[in-house]
Amino acid sequence: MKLSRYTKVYPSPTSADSVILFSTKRASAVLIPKDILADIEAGRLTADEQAELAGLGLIAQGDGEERQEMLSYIQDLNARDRSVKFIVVLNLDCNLACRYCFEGTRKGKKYLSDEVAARFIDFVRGRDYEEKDEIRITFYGGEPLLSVDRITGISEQVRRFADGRGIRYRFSLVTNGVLLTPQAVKRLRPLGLASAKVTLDGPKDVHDSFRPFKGGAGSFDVILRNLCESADMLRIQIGGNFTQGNYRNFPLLLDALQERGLGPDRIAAVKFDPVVNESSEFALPDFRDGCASMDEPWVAEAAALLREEVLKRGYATPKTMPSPCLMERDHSFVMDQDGVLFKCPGLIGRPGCAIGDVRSGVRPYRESHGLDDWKNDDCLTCAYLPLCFGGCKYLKLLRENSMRGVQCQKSYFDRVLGPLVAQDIRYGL
Amino acid sequence: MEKRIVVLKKAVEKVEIIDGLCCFGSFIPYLWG
Repeated sequence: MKLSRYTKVYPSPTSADSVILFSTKRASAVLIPKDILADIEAGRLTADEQAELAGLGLIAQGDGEERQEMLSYIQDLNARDRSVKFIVVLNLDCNLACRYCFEGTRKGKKYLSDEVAARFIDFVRGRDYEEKDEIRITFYGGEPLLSVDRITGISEQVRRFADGRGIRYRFSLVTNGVLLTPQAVKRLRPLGLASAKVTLDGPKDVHDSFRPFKGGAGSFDVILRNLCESADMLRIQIGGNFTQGNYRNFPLLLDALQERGLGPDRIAAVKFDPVVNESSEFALPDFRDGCASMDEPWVAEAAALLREEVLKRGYATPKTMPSPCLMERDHSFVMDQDGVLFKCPGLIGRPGCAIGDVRSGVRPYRESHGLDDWKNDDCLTCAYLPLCFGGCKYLKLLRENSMRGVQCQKSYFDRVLGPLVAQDIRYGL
Repeated sequence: MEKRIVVLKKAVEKVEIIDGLCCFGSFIPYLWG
């Protein structure tokens, strides 16, 4: 056996004679003396050592076998997937005026109609539920809680259908949190509300500058009050969008949360991500502070620094592991307020990226979306493939006006993966 | 013979395609529970 091509070797922080092996395929890691690397290549491992490293995915029989494993990896994940998922854009309206909103000029008083809601229910009913045990909807916007009656109506019908089939129905919200009052949560919980992702962009002064109400007033205090009063009734995940100019202030948000009693016992997870500049016709004209590319060195530095601050305070955050793009999920659909279907929320408003609509159904999209474009020698021999699978198609579209080809993330991973793996080990993720 | 391998992280048992929304371009997704 030999070292897996999806194993990364990092220096040990504690011993010059040892190294850390990390499997991008299995998210496993070991500390070994450097001698073992030579023993692996020379076939001198003991049977126990060989079995242990093979079980962790760190060594493999050969390149051909691993290549086949990767080529069928996503297909295998889809075969094991037991849920059918929908992201529903209920409106493109909002009560905030975030400076960087990626939906930009797509926004407006556009709401999902009764007719589209009815067609959506038909579409949900028409999916294949063989070997499925769950329907999940993520309500998205705009601001989904501006459409709370629509959430109720859709959920009642989907739940009735799910109950009839003996499967579970749950839903989540991606909300700015302004309307996530305890009254709203109490109303939606019995219908299947399980979790909400709420965005806070740093401490009060920074957040209020980036995410004000349309009238200009800050939204931070309103959101925090809602979180304090609702956090025990549903699973709250906090996200935040940072720029090069403000990311160093984000740890102050974590302190503010803890001061208000919103510690790791009440917040399910925290994760901060960089604002990506929308460079298309939808871009807000006055905002250019986001990153143009994940390759900008400050992005990797900020990601590792803020993750450390999150973990240091005991909050959960996603571990470093293979996570193929949502687009790869066969039984997952994004529907906009007009009933048009997409594979990613970033694509709404772009008719050329649609995969169909709830009236006429889904058309083939793998080729137009370039979903198999990573199946080439460069990607299949790249140690980062299991973390990347061709990168982000939305970013690819923004930068090159096409989803074909790959959005190579090698230089980003070169910078960030070592520090993130060290964090995972240090904090026991 | 002395044990030479120290396991720092066990292999993940269950890998899933992103369940919910990622930050566009960020390889660590939001996992919805």
